[in-house]
Amino acid sequence: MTDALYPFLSAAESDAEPLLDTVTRSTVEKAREIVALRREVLTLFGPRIAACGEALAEAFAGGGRLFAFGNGGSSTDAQAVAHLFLAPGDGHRGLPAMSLTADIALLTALTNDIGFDAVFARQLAALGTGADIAMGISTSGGSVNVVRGLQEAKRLGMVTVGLAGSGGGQLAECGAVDHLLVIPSSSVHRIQEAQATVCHVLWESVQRALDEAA
Amino acid sequence: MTHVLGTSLQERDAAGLALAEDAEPIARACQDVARRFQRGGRLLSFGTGQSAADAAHLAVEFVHPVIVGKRALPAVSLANDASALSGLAHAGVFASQLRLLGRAGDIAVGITIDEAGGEVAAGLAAAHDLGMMTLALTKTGVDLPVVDHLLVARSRDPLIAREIHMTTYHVLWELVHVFLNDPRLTEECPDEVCVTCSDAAVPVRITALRPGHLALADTPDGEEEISVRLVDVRAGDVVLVHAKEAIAVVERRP
Repeated sequence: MTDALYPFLSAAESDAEPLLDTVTRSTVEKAREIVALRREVLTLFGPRIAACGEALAEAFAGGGRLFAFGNGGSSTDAQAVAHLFLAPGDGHRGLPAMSLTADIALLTALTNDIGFDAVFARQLAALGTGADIAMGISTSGGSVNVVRGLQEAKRLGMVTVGLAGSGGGQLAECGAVDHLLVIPSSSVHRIQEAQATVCHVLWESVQRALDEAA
Repeated sequence: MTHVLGTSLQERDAAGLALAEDAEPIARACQDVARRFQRGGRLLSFGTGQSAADAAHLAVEFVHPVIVGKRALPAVSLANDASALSGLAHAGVFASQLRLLGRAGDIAVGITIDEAGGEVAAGLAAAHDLGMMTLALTKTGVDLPVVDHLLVARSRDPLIAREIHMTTYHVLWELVHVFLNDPRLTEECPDEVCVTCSDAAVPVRITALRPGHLALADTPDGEEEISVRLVDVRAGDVVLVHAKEAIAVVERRP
Protein backbone atom coordinates (compact mmCIF):
# COMPACT_ATOMS: atom_id res chain seq x y z
CA MET A 1 0.00 0.00 0.00
CA THR A 2 2.67 2.48 1.02
CA ASP A 3 4.83 1.50 -1.94
CA ALA A 4 1.99 2.04 -4.38
CA LEU A 5 1.23 5.49 -3.00
CA TYR A 6 4.75 6.65 -2.40
CA PRO A 7 7.04 4.68 -4.73
CA PHE A 8 9.82 7.16 -3.94
CA LEU A 9 9.80 6.21 -0.24
CA SER A 10 11.46 2.82 -0.63
CA ALA A 11 13.66 4.20 -3.40
CA ALA A 12 14.90 6.85 -0.97
CA GLU A 13 15.85 4.19 1.51
CA SER A 14 17.80 2.14 -0.98
CA ASP A 15 19.78 4.81 -2.78
CA ALA A 16 20.21 7.03 0.26
CA GLU A 17 19.14 10.18 -1.60
CA PRO A 18 18.14 12.79 0.95
CA LEU A 19 14.40 12.58 1.56
CA LEU A 20 14.03 16.31 0.93
CA ASP A 21 15.29 15.81 -2.63
CA THR A 22 12.92 12.92 -3.34
CA VAL A 23 9.83 14.71 -2.04
CA THR A 24 10.85 17.84 -3.95
CA ARG A 25 10.94 15.75 -7.12
CA SER A 26 7.53 14.22 -6.38
CA THR A 27 6.06 17.71 -5.83
CA VAL A 28 7.34 18.81 -9.24
CA GLU A 29 5.64 15.74 -10.76
CA LYS A 30 2.33 16.52 -9.03
CA ALA A 31 2.41 20.15 -10.16
CA ARG A 32 2.96 19.01 -13.76
CA GLU A 33 0.20 16.42 -13.41
CA ILE A 34 -2.44 18.97 -12.40
CA VAL A 35 -1.31 21.43 -15.10
CA ALA A 36 -1.86 18.71 -17.70
CA LEU A 37 -5.19 17.59 -16.20
CA ARG A 38 -6.50 21.16 -16.01
CA ARG A 39 -5.54 21.75 -19.65
CA GLU A 40 -7.25 18.51 -20.68
CA VAL A 41 -10.42 19.34 -18.73
CA LEU A 42 -10.75 22.89 -20.04
CA THR A 43 -10.08 21.80 -23.62
CA LEU A 44 -12.49 18.88 -23.33
CA PHE A 45 -15.26 20.65 -21.41
CA GLY A 46 -14.91 24.26 -22.67
CA PRO A 47 -18.10 24.20 -24.79
CA ARG A 48 -20.05 22.27 -22.13
CA ILE A 49 -19.04 24.69 -19.38
CA ALA A 50 -20.14 27.57 -21.64
CA ALA A 51 -23.52 25.89 -22.28
CA CYS A 52 -23.96 25.24 -18.56
CA GLY A 53 -23.04 28.89 -17.86
CA GLU A 54 -25.75 30.07 -20.23
CA ALA A 55 -28.36 27.83 -18.59
CA LEU A 56 -27.36 29.12 -15.14
CA ALA A 57 -27.40 32.74 -16.34
CA GLU A 58 -30.92 32.19 -17.65
CA ALA A 59 -32.03 30.72 -14.32
CA PHE A 60 -30.46 33.60 -12.35
CA ALA A 61 -32.11 36.11 -14.70
CA GLY A 62 -35.43 34.42 -13.92
CA GLY A 63 -34.95 34.87 -10.17
CA GLY A 64 -33.29 31.52 -9.50
CA ARG A 65 -30.88 30.80 -6.65
CA LEU A 66 -27.92 28.43 -6.56
CA PHE A 67 -27.75 25.66 -3.93
CA ALA A 68 -24.35 23.89 -3.78
CA PHE A 69 -23.59 20.75 -1.77
CA GLY A 70 -21.08 17.95 -1.20
CA ASN A 71 -19.36 15.98 1.57
CA GLY A 72 -15.98 16.56 3.24
CA GLY A 73 -13.56 18.39 0.93
CA SER A 74 -16.40 18.71 -1.60
CA SER A 75 -18.51 20.50 1.01
CA THR A 76 -15.78 23.12 1.26
CA ASP A 77 -15.75 23.38 -2.54
CA ALA A 78 -19.53 23.87 -2.47
CA GLN A 79 -19.04 26.57 0.18
CA ALA A 80 -16.35 28.26 -1.94
CA VAL A 81 -18.38 28.24 -5.16
CA ALA A 82 -21.46 29.60 -3.36
CA HIS A 83 -19.33 32.38 -1.87
CA LEU A 84 -17.83 33.17 -5.28
CA PHE A 85 -21.30 33.61 -6.82
CA LEU A 86 -22.61 35.57 -3.83
CA ALA A 87 -19.70 37.92 -3.18
CA PRO A 88 -17.29 37.97 -6.13
CA GLY A 89 -15.95 41.49 -5.47
CA ASP A 90 -14.09 43.58 -8.06
CA GLY A 91 -17.24 45.05 -9.61
CA HIS A 92 -18.73 41.70 -10.58
CA ARG A 93 -22.41 41.08 -9.94
CA GLY A 94 -23.34 39.20 -6.78
CA LEU A 95 -25.87 36.42 -7.30
CA PRO A 96 -28.06 34.53 -4.82
CA ALA A 97 -26.15 31.39 -3.83
CA MET A 98 -25.75 29.29 -0.69
CA SER A 99 -24.15 26.02 0.34
CA LEU A 100 -26.25 23.39 2.07
CA THR A 101 -23.63 22.50 4.69
CA ALA A 102 -23.37 25.87 6.43
CA ASP A 103 -26.27 25.48 8.85
CA ILE A 104 -25.20 23.09 11.60
CA ALA A 105 -28.63 23.10 13.26
CA LEU A 106 -30.26 21.89 10.04
CA LEU A 107 -27.51 19.38 9.25
CA THR A 108 -27.59 17.76 12.67
CA ALA A 109 -31.39 17.82 12.92
CA LEU A 110 -31.86 16.16 9.53
CA THR A 111 -29.09 13.63 10.14
CA ASN A 112 -30.31 12.76 13.61
CA ASP A 113 -34.00 12.54 12.74
CA ILE A 114 -34.00 11.15 9.19
CA GLY A 115 -30.50 10.11 8.14
CA PHE A 116 -27.52 11.50 6.34
CA ASP A 117 -28.72 10.30 2.93
CA ALA A 118 -31.60 12.80 3.08
CA VAL A 119 -29.59 15.77 4.26
CA PHE A 120 -29.52 17.66 0.95
CA ALA A 121 -32.76 16.39 -0.63
CA ARG A 122 -34.78 17.48 2.39
CA GLN A 123 -33.27 20.99 2.39
CA LEU A 124 -33.90 21.37 -1.33
CA ALA A 125 -37.50 20.22 -0.89
CA ALA A 126 -38.00 22.89 1.76
CA LEU A 127 -35.97 25.75 0.27
CA GLY A 128 -35.96 25.19 -3.48
CA THR A 129 -38.34 25.88 -6.34
CA GLY A 130 -38.36 24.91 -10.00
CA ALA A 131 -36.66 28.22 -10.84
CA ASP A 132 -33.50 27.36 -8.87
CA ILE A 133 -30.18 25.66 -9.58
CA ALA A 134 -28.71 22.66 -7.73
CA MET A 135 -24.99 21.89 -7.91
CA GLY A 136 -23.86 18.58 -6.40
CA ILE A 137 -20.15 17.82 -6.00
CA SER A 138 -18.73 14.33 -5.40
CA THR A 139 -15.23 13.13 -6.29
CA SER A 140 -16.39 9.52 -6.52
CA GLY A 141 -19.81 10.28 -7.99
CA GLY A 142 -21.12 7.78 -5.45
CA SER A 143 -22.24 9.98 -2.54
CA VAL A 144 -25.81 8.86 -1.88
CA ASN A 145 -26.89 12.16 -0.31
CA VAL A 146 -25.56 14.14 -3.28
CA VAL A 147 -27.33 11.86 -5.77
CA ARG A 148 -30.59 12.08 -3.77
CA GLY A 149 -30.25 15.86 -3.62
CA LEU A 150 -29.92 16.10 -7.38
CA GLN A 151 -32.87 13.72 -7.85
CA GLU A 152 -35.04 15.90 -5.63
CA ALA A 153 -33.87 19.03 -7.48
CA LYS A 154 -34.74 17.42 -10.81
CA ARG A 155 -38.16 16.45 -9.48
CA LEU A 156 -38.74 20.09 -8.52
CA GLY A 157 -37.76 21.19 -12.04
CA MET A 158 -34.47 22.88 -11.05
CA VAL A 159 -31.44 23.15 -13.36
CA THR A 160 -29.09 20.42 -12.08
CA VAL A 161 -25.29 20.45 -12.30
CA GLY A 162 -23.14 17.49 -11.22
CA LEU A 163 -19.37 17.52 -10.73
CA ALA A 164 -17.72 14.13 -10.33
CA GLY A 165 -14.54 12.18 -10.98
CA SER A 166 -13.54 8.52 -11.25
CA GLY A 167 -15.91 7.72 -14.13
CA GLY A 168 -18.90 9.59 -12.67
CA GLY A 169 -20.43 6.74 -10.63
CA GLN A 170 -24.06 7.05 -9.59
CA LEU A 171 -24.06 10.73 -10.52
CA ALA A 172 -23.58 9.73 -14.15
CA GLU A 173 -26.17 6.94 -13.99
CA CYS A 174 -29.02 8.53 -12.01
CA GLY A 175 -30.48 10.47 -14.94
CA ALA A 176 -31.09 13.53 -12.77
CA VAL A 177 -28.15 15.65 -13.91
CA ASP A 178 -28.66 18.17 -16.74
CA HIS A 179 -25.02 19.28 -16.84
CA LEU A 180 -22.58 16.54 -15.88
CA LEU A 181 -18.83 17.18 -15.77
CA VAL A 182 -16.68 14.17 -14.92
CA ILE A 183 -13.00 14.86 -14.31
CA PRO A 184 -10.90 12.13 -16.00
CA SER A 185 -8.72 11.22 -13.01
CA SER A 186 -8.79 8.71 -10.18
CA SER A 187 -6.86 10.87 -7.69
CA VAL A 188 -9.26 12.50 -5.21
CA HIS A 189 -6.89 15.44 -4.80
CA ARG A 190 -6.36 16.10 -8.52
CA ILE A 191 -10.14 15.73 -9.13
CA GLN A 192 -10.89 18.37 -6.47
CA GLU A 193 -8.27 20.73 -7.90
CA ALA A 194 -9.67 20.37 -11.44
CA GLN A 195 -13.24 20.77 -10.13
CA ALA A 196 -12.25 24.09 -8.56
CA THR A 197 -11.05 25.25 -11.98
CA VAL A 198 -14.33 24.09 -13.56
CA CYS A 199 -16.30 26.06 -10.93
CA HIS A 200 -14.20 29.17 -11.53
CA VAL A 201 -14.54 29.02 -15.31
CA LEU A 202 -18.26 28.29 -14.97
CA TRP A 203 -18.67 31.38 -12.77
CA GLU A 204 -16.81 33.47 -15.38
CA SER A 205 -19.11 32.20 -18.12
CA VAL A 206 -22.23 33.00 -16.04
CA GLN A 207 -20.97 36.55 -15.47
CA ARG A 208 -20.22 36.93 -19.18
CA ALA A 209 -23.62 35.57 -20.26
CA LEU A 210 -25.41 37.95 -17.86
CA ASP A 211 -23.29 40.88 -19.11
CA GLU A 212 -24.17 40.06 -22.71
CA ALA A 213 -27.88 39.77 -21.90
CA ALA A 214 -27.91 43.08 -19.99
CA MET B 1 -15.36 31.94 -25.24
CA THR B 2 -12.47 30.20 -26.98
CA HIS B 3 -10.27 33.27 -26.66
CA VAL B 4 -11.11 33.83 -22.99
CA LEU B 5 -10.57 30.19 -22.17
CA GLY B 6 -7.27 30.28 -24.06
CA THR B 7 -6.03 33.27 -22.05
CA SER B 8 -7.04 31.77 -18.73
CA LEU B 9 -5.41 28.47 -19.75
CA GLN B 10 -2.09 30.19 -20.36
CA GLU B 11 -2.27 31.99 -17.04
CA ARG B 12 -3.20 28.76 -15.27
CA ASP B 13 -0.34 26.87 -16.94
CA ALA B 14 2.17 29.54 -15.94
CA ALA B 15 1.01 29.58 -12.31
CA GLY B 16 0.91 25.77 -12.17
CA LEU B 17 4.42 25.38 -13.55
CA ALA B 18 5.68 28.09 -11.18
CA LEU B 19 4.40 25.87 -8.36
CA ALA B 20 6.82 23.18 -9.54
CA GLU B 21 9.65 25.72 -9.12
CA ASP B 22 8.61 26.12 -5.48
CA ALA B 23 8.82 22.38 -4.80
CA GLU B 24 11.79 22.74 -2.47
CA PRO B 25 10.36 25.44 -0.18
CA ILE B 26 7.14 23.40 -0.07
CA ALA B 27 9.07 20.28 0.95
CA ARG B 28 10.92 22.26 3.65
CA ALA B 29 7.63 23.59 5.01
CA CYS B 30 6.23 20.05 5.12
CA GLN B 31 9.27 18.78 7.00
CA ASP B 32 8.85 21.55 9.53
CA VAL B 33 5.11 20.84 9.91
CA ALA B 34 5.84 17.11 10.37
CA ARG B 35 8.34 17.90 13.15
CA ARG B 36 5.75 20.03 14.93
CA PHE B 37 3.11 17.30 14.70
CA GLN B 38 5.61 14.79 15.99
CA ARG B 39 6.25 16.91 19.06
CA GLY B 40 2.54 17.18 19.81
CA GLY B 41 1.72 20.36 17.94
CA ARG B 42 -1.66 20.99 16.37
CA LEU B 43 -2.45 22.72 13.09
CA LEU B 44 -4.76 25.75 13.18
CA SER B 45 -5.88 27.02 9.76
CA PHE B 46 -7.69 30.20 8.81
CA GLY B 47 -8.75 32.27 5.82
CA THR B 48 -11.52 34.60 4.67
CA GLY B 49 -14.05 34.36 1.85
CA GLN B 50 -13.29 31.42 -0.42
CA SER B 51 -10.10 30.77 1.54
CA ALA B 52 -12.23 30.07 4.63
CA ALA B 53 -13.47 27.02 2.71
CA ASP B 54 -9.86 26.07 1.95
CA ALA B 55 -8.92 26.41 5.63
CA ALA B 56 -11.68 23.89 6.42
CA HIS B 57 -10.58 21.66 3.54
CA LEU B 58 -6.99 21.59 4.81
CA ALA B 59 -8.15 20.67 8.33
CA VAL B 60 -10.37 17.81 7.14
CA GLU B 61 -7.47 16.38 5.10
CA PHE B 62 -5.45 15.99 8.30
CA VAL B 63 -8.20 14.86 10.67
CA HIS B 64 -9.92 12.44 8.27
CA PRO B 65 -7.33 11.31 5.71
CA VAL B 66 -8.58 10.36 2.26
CA ILE B 67 -6.12 7.45 2.18
CA VAL B 68 -7.18 4.62 4.48
CA GLY B 69 -4.53 3.78 7.06
CA LYS B 70 -2.98 7.25 7.29
CA ARG B 71 -3.09 8.45 10.89
CA ALA B 72 -5.39 11.28 11.90
CA LEU B 73 -3.50 14.41 12.90
CA PRO B 74 -4.88 17.26 15.01
CA ALA B 75 -6.03 20.15 12.81
CA VAL B 76 -8.77 22.71 13.33
CA SER B 77 -10.10 25.42 11.05
CA LEU B 78 -10.73 28.71 12.85
CA ALA B 79 -13.07 29.84 10.05
CA ASN B 80 -16.00 27.49 10.71
CA ASP B 81 -17.77 28.80 13.77
CA ALA B 82 -20.31 31.49 12.87
CA SER B 83 -20.58 32.62 16.50
CA ALA B 84 -16.83 33.05 16.86
CA LEU B 85 -16.47 34.79 13.50
CA SER B 86 -19.26 37.28 14.14
CA GLY B 87 -18.72 37.64 17.88
CA LEU B 88 -14.97 38.26 17.81
CA ALA B 89 -14.99 40.67 14.86
CA HIS B 90 -14.06 43.59 17.14
CA ALA B 91 -10.92 41.83 18.42
CA GLY B 92 -9.57 40.24 15.24
CA VAL B 93 -11.39 37.01 14.45
CA PHE B 94 -8.34 34.81 13.95
CA ALA B 95 -5.83 36.62 16.17
CA SER B 96 -8.14 36.40 19.17
CA GLN B 97 -8.96 32.72 18.57
CA LEU B 98 -5.25 31.93 18.16
CA ARG B 99 -4.42 33.66 21.45
CA LEU B 100 -7.08 31.58 23.23
CA LEU B 101 -6.67 28.23 21.48
CA GLY B 102 -3.06 28.24 20.25
CA ARG B 103 0.10 27.01 21.98
CA ALA B 104 3.74 27.74 21.24
CA GLY B 105 4.33 24.35 19.60
CA ASP B 106 1.40 24.64 17.21
CA ILE B 107 1.31 25.31 13.47
CA ALA B 108 -0.60 28.34 12.12
CA VAL B 109 -1.62 28.19 8.46
CA GLY B 110 -3.09 31.41 7.03
CA ILE B 111 -4.59 31.35 3.54
CA THR B 112 -5.45 34.45 1.51
CA ILE B 113 -6.20 35.41 -2.08
CA ASP B 114 -7.10 38.93 -1.00
CA GLU B 115 -4.41 41.54 -1.54
CA ALA B 116 -5.35 43.25 1.69
CA GLY B 117 -4.18 40.45 3.99
CA GLY B 118 -6.42 41.85 6.79
CA GLU B 119 -7.57 39.29 9.33
CA VAL B 120 -5.22 36.63 7.97
CA ALA B 121 -2.19 38.89 8.34
CA ALA B 122 -3.26 39.79 11.88
CA GLY B 123 -3.71 36.09 12.70
CA LEU B 124 -0.23 35.20 11.41
CA ALA B 125 1.31 38.05 13.42
CA ALA B 126 -0.47 36.86 16.59
CA ALA B 127 0.65 33.26 15.95
CA HIS B 128 4.24 34.41 15.49
CA ASP B 129 4.10 36.33 18.78
CA LEU B 130 2.88 33.16 20.51
CA GLY B 131 5.90 31.23 19.19
CA MET B 132 3.88 29.13 16.77
CA MET B 133 5.28 28.01 13.44
CA THR B 134 3.69 30.18 10.75
CA LEU B 135 2.92 29.14 7.18
CA ALA B 136 1.13 31.39 4.68
CA LEU B 137 -0.45 30.55 1.33
CA THR B 138 -0.81 33.82 -0.58
CA LYS B 139 -0.66 35.21 -4.09
CA THR B 140 1.39 37.77 -5.97
CA GLY B 141 0.87 41.26 -4.55
CA VAL B 142 -0.15 40.30 -1.00
CA ASP B 143 1.73 42.03 1.79
CA LEU B 144 2.07 39.90 4.93
CA PRO B 145 4.06 39.99 8.15
CA VAL B 146 7.19 37.87 8.30
CA VAL B 147 6.29 34.17 8.42
CA ASP B 148 8.40 31.02 8.72
CA HIS B 149 7.21 29.59 5.40
CA LEU B 150 5.75 31.79 2.69
CA LEU B 151 4.29 29.99 -0.33
CA VAL B 152 3.13 32.43 -2.99
CA ALA B 153 0.86 31.39 -5.87
CA ARG B 154 2.36 33.16 -8.87
CA SER B 155 -0.76 34.86 -10.17
CA ARG B 156 -2.60 38.08 -9.41
CA ASP B 157 -5.88 36.39 -10.37
CA PRO B 158 -7.50 35.32 -7.08
CA LEU B 159 -9.27 32.33 -8.65
CA ILE B 160 -6.12 30.96 -10.26
CA ALA B 161 -4.25 31.57 -6.99
CA ARG B 162 -6.92 29.59 -5.14
CA GLU B 163 -6.45 26.64 -7.51
CA ILE B 164 -2.70 26.71 -6.80
CA HIS B 165 -3.44 26.80 -3.05
CA MET B 166 -5.52 23.63 -3.34
CA THR B 167 -2.69 21.71 -4.97
CA THR B 168 -0.26 23.16 -2.42
CA TYR B 169 -2.26 22.03 0.62
CA HIS B 170 -2.99 18.61 -0.87
CA VAL B 171 0.75 18.14 -1.40
CA LEU B 172 1.37 19.54 2.10
CA TRP B 173 -0.83 16.87 3.67
CA GLU B 174 0.75 14.10 1.63
CA LEU B 175 4.37 15.11 2.27
CA VAL B 176 3.82 15.62 5.99
CA HIS B 177 2.90 11.92 6.15
CA VAL B 178 5.95 10.98 4.10
CA PHE B 179 8.19 12.85 6.55
CA LEU B 180 6.37 11.37 9.56
CA ASN B 181 7.09 7.89 8.17
CA ASP B 182 10.77 8.64 7.77
CA PRO B 183 12.95 7.27 10.58
CA ARG B 184 15.36 10.17 10.15
CA LEU B 185 12.70 12.55 11.41
CA THR B 186 12.43 10.57 14.63
CA GLU B 187 16.18 10.30 15.22
CA GLU B 188 16.24 13.52 17.11
CA CYS B 189 14.04 13.64 20.18
CA PRO B 190 14.87 17.13 21.36
CA ASP B 191 12.02 18.25 23.55
CA GLU B 192 10.73 15.53 25.78
CA VAL B 193 11.67 11.90 25.76
CA CYS B 194 8.99 9.87 24.02
CA VAL B 195 7.59 6.60 25.37
CA THR B 196 9.60 4.17 23.28
CA CYS B 197 13.00 5.86 23.70
CA SER B 198 12.75 6.15 27.47
CA ASP B 199 15.31 4.43 29.65
CA ALA B 200 12.84 1.92 31.09
CA ALA B 201 11.65 -1.10 29.13
CA VAL B 202 7.96 -0.76 28.29
CA PRO B 203 5.53 -3.15 26.58
CA VAL B 204 3.97 -1.87 23.35
CA ARG B 205 1.85 -3.45 20.63
CA ILE B 206 3.20 -3.50 17.06
CA THR B 207 0.67 -1.97 14.67
CA ALA B 208 2.62 -2.33 11.42
CA LEU B 209 6.00 -3.46 10.11
CA ARG B 210 8.13 -1.05 8.10
CA PRO B 211 11.07 -1.65 5.74
CA GLY B 212 14.55 -1.69 7.29
CA HIS B 213 13.62 -3.73 10.41
CA LEU B 214 11.41 -0.93 11.70
CA ALA B 215 7.87 -1.07 13.04
CA LEU B 216 5.13 1.23 14.25
CA ALA B 217 4.08 0.69 17.84
CA ASP B 218 0.99 1.86 19.68
CA THR B 219 1.95 3.83 22.79
CA PRO B 220 -0.02 5.89 25.29
CA ASP B 221 1.40 8.98 23.53
CA GLY B 222 0.37 7.84 20.04
CA GLU B 223 2.10 5.85 17.36
CA GLU B 224 5.91 5.70 17.46
CA GLU B 225 8.51 4.07 15.26
CA ILE B 226 10.84 1.49 16.83
CA SER B 227 13.50 -0.94 15.66
CA VAL B 228 12.60 -4.68 15.58
CA ARG B 229 15.98 -5.86 14.31
CA LEU B 230 16.55 -8.12 17.35
CA VAL B 231 13.18 -9.89 17.40
CA ASP B 232 10.95 -11.82 15.01
CA VAL B 233 7.55 -10.12 15.17
CA ARG B 234 4.31 -9.61 13.29
CA ALA B 235 1.74 -6.83 13.52
CA GLY B 236 -0.38 -7.39 16.63
CA ASP B 237 2.45 -8.78 18.77
CA VAL B 238 3.40 -7.06 22.03
CA VAL B 239 7.11 -6.39 22.51
CA LEU B 240 9.23 -5.02 25.29
CA VAL B 241 10.97 -1.92 23.98
CA HIS B 242 13.98 -0.20 25.48
CA ALA B 243 15.60 2.90 23.99
CA LYS B 244 13.70 2.48 20.71
CA GLU B 245 14.79 -1.16 20.31
CA ALA B 246 12.38 -4.09 20.77
CA ILE B 247 14.27 -6.49 23.01
CA ALA B 248 11.74 -9.30 23.61
CA VAL B 249 8.33 -10.54 22.47
CA VAL B 250 5.99 -10.70 25.45
CA GLU B 251 2.76 -11.66 23.66
CA ARG B 252 2.08 -13.22 20.26
CA ARG B 253 -0.97 -12.18 18.26
CA PRO B 254 -3.56 -14.96 18.66
